Amino acid sequence: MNEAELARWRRVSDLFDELAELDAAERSARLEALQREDAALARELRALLDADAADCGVLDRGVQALAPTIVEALAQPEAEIPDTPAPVAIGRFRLVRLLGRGGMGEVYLAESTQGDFVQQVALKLLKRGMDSDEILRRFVQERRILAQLNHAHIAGLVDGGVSAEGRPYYAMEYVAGEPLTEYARSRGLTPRERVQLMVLICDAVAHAQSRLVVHRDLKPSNILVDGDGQPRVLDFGIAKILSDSAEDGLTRTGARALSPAYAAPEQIRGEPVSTATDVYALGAVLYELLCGRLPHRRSAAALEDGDTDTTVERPSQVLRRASVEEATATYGRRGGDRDRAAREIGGDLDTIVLAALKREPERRYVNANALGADLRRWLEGRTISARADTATYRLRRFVRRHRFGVLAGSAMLLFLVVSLGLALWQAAIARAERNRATEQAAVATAVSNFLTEDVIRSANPYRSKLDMSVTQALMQARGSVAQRFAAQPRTEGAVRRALAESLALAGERAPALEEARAAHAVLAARFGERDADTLLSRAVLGRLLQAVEENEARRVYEEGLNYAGAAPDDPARLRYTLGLASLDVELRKEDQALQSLAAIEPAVRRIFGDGSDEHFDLLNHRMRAYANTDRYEQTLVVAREALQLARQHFGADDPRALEWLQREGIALRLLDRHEEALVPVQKTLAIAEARLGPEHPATLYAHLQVGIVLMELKRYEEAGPHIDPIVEYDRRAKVSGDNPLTHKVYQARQRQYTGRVDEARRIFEEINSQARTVLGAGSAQALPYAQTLGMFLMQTGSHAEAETLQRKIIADSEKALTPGHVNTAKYAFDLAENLSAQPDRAADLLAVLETWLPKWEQFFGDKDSRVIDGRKWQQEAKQRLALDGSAAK
Amino acid sequence: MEVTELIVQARAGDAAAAGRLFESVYADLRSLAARQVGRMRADMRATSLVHEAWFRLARPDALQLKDREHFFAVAARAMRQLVIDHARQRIAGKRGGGAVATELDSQLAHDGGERDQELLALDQALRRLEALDAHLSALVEMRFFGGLELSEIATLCNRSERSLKRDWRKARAFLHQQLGGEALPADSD
Repeated sequence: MNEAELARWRRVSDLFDELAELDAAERSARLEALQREDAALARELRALLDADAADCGVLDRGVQALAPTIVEALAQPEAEIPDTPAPVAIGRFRLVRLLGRGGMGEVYLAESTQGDFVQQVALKLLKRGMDSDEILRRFVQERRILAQLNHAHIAGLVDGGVSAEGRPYYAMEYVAGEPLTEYARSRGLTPRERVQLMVLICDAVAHAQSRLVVHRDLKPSNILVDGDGQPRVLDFGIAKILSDSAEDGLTRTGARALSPAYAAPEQIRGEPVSTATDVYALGAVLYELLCGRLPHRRSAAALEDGDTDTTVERPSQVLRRASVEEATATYGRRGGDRDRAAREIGGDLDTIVLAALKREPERRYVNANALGADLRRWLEGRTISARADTATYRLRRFVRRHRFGVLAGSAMLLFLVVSLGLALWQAAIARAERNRATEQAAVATAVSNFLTEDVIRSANPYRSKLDMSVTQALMQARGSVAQRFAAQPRTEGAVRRALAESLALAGERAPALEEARAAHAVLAARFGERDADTLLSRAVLGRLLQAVEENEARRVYEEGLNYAGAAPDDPARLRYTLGLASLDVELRKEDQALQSLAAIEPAVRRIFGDGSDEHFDLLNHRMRAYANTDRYEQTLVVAREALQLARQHFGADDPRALEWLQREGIALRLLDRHEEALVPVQKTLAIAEARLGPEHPATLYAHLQVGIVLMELKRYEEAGPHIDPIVEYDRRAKVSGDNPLTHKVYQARQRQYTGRVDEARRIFEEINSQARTVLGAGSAQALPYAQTLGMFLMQTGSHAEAETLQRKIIADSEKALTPGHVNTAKYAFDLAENLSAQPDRAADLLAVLETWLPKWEQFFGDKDSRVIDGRKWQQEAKQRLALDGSAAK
Repeated sequence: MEVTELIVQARAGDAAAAGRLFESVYADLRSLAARQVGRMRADMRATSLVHEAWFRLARPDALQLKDREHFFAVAARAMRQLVIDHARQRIAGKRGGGAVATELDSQLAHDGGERDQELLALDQALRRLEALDAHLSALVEMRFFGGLELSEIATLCNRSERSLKRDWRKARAFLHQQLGGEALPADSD
């Protein structure tokens, strides 16, 4: 290489660097200029740029992609394959005649003689060019497994090896039969008869799958039906032997050897195969069997793009549209009666087929057994299981979409709840304690496995007939934690913590608390109170306690501050401070809470990040503090700040942004800006409906908010349709807790204000009795619901009934709460109002006011309307008594 | 002698040490390959071979980054040598049996013989590139034969991934052009 050449290369090299980055127009301009300067150089450069553009990228995939067998065979260079003329016998088999020729090679009818016994086999001799050594090696690996497949509907593998001329072959039981689709046509089978065949095929595939063999290449030509109408599945395990298995991801030749028409999307994408991969192929075969077409008309280009998201038309529809010729091609002599066949297929059978053909493997039937079972159900006219997505799919989809903290309730929602626990846990892992990343990751995996296997799977409708709710599943899973994670305290702690959070969101407060306590205890015992995991568990425990045992929650947080790091921005310290601020809000120490929140805000945002859960917690506490103290202007400001933050971090349509949009609406409502409030609540509803669907609890909740605003706007009739769905949902889904009661109160009021007083009364009475059942008769929590009935009775003129109830409420409240409690004072106001409407009860009114007016003054202040009313009533009552007195005289 | 020491000496310009280093890496890759053939196919990647050689031969913490770069460059070169030697042997072995004519209409793998020829042609082209620009050919060795990712190479060589990417395109274009644009098999299909 001389200097001139080197210099020239450097020139070309530099110019390449420059021009490679330019767009086409600039580049050709530059090349033209060069052309005038130095034509030879320009030509050289052009050639290089063309080569760059034309490059197929083979070098990018490395030598192992170009020459996988070389890399592999490095150790055995002596293993050479001699090329010799064509055979008449292969291995121990004598070739009888050629059965067929295909893309992969030839198929012969062959025999082997062992003593008196002549065995007939179908012998497939593969093309030259397939890597014999490699196939032989894999064949040896697989043979033992394949030999165990012993099923009436599977054509067993007999033998395999490499022929004398170096071509791989394998022999399997010979089946004299027709390919499935041809058989069905030639016999003119009805859809029902076709499904009956399919059930047998599913049994065969299920048998293999139970021995961990996935077929990978099911198609009609691999399923022969013999003269007795018995189907036999061929080529089990062959796809795996022949392909560069999809797992290794080095080359795509494996996937390409398959029949793309029946290959599942994950196979086309080169992703790992599973039992669900066969389910897809079975679905595709059934689809073709029923309507004569393949589920997807995919072009090669679409395959390349990985565009596998085409929606599949229902087979019955395809058949309905088919011409008589097309129908005859599928149904033979029955082709003329395609409408009848279409009717038979339409509905459940369509559903089953489409469920098997779902794009995501986890949304399909888990295996051939499940598909077969559903087909049997269809044959027997029973309810099929294909409807809902499988739980694992929901889990994944949900984790991807992150969490949203709306309501909790039904089985449907509870699926999400479990995922939430998982998501929370993963989030905690991701941001905290990075020095233990590996161990944490292992723990996270254990947690996730536990949740998916022990919890979700048991709720998977395909697994058990019973569609168990996740609450039940969670409760059941609790039992196995101690045993499963014995001697793994870190994992046990993490699992219990995830269970605690999930149960809490499912509304199961007591078991949630138990789990949280256990999580903290096991971690503290093993790793001490200052361990990061222990500290985190303490935060979870505190949060759960907040809802039920405020004093203990406070103690947990305050104690925790002793163990947390001393730095003001220690994560645990910040979490506990947040919790304490939240408690302060509950305990009506709002200003103290606001102060402490302001103090930690910079650290919270720095440590956990803007838009972190903790940051949103902080804004939430602050908003509540303002709302509790009737500072609705500030409430609105905080809601809008959080809304903007959520939109920025999660996108405008994210459920977390929706929550705050809804709160903006609520703040506006509290400001009596009802017209304005209608905008965000309606917008929330529109997005929720589009994003989550009309049936989703969050959508129903959004409906309710619109209903409430409409009520405020006195558009009572319009409000009804917004309020009723959530009440109906609560009933249907058996939602626990007291939210359903609140929803019913709105419904009852809507009925009351639209003149349906009898219905309203029935609902109010129902609320009262349910509150006593659910929350405990006479308990402090049940009393507000009794109060609503009392108000209704009073407003509709049943003063005496109302009074009896109101006096009972006050008595119960005095028992349940500390004497003279603010709530009791509020109940007493209702009684006073009731009495004030009855002029003849002035003496009784005065007696009530004597006890309670001072309390109202104390609790509500001079300017409160209740105090003003009370004083007015007192005066009026005194005047009336004086008047009556003088009249009596 | 310890590989670690060999690397240091080779880097200091000791030609004998460099030779011994290459030999020991070559031998080690070879035995790694031999051991791995019995294992799952997924493990059979040039990358894992080169990485494993690194951890087996050199005690990573004893070496500086520059030494690490040197080692991987050597290992990649050894890998290249190994692959090319093997291709040669196969071709030599095949000659007796006559030329291999295969129909390539199958969607399955290309015939090994053709592939071996392609690899030799690539090796030749790479030599020409080396003469013009040793950096580029070293990059090809590390990326193509060594199976290292560009990001890894960037870290090793302390260069930006962006500029490496441009170099890679250039080297690729050069080889592609040298091989007449057709000699390398297109992606299957």
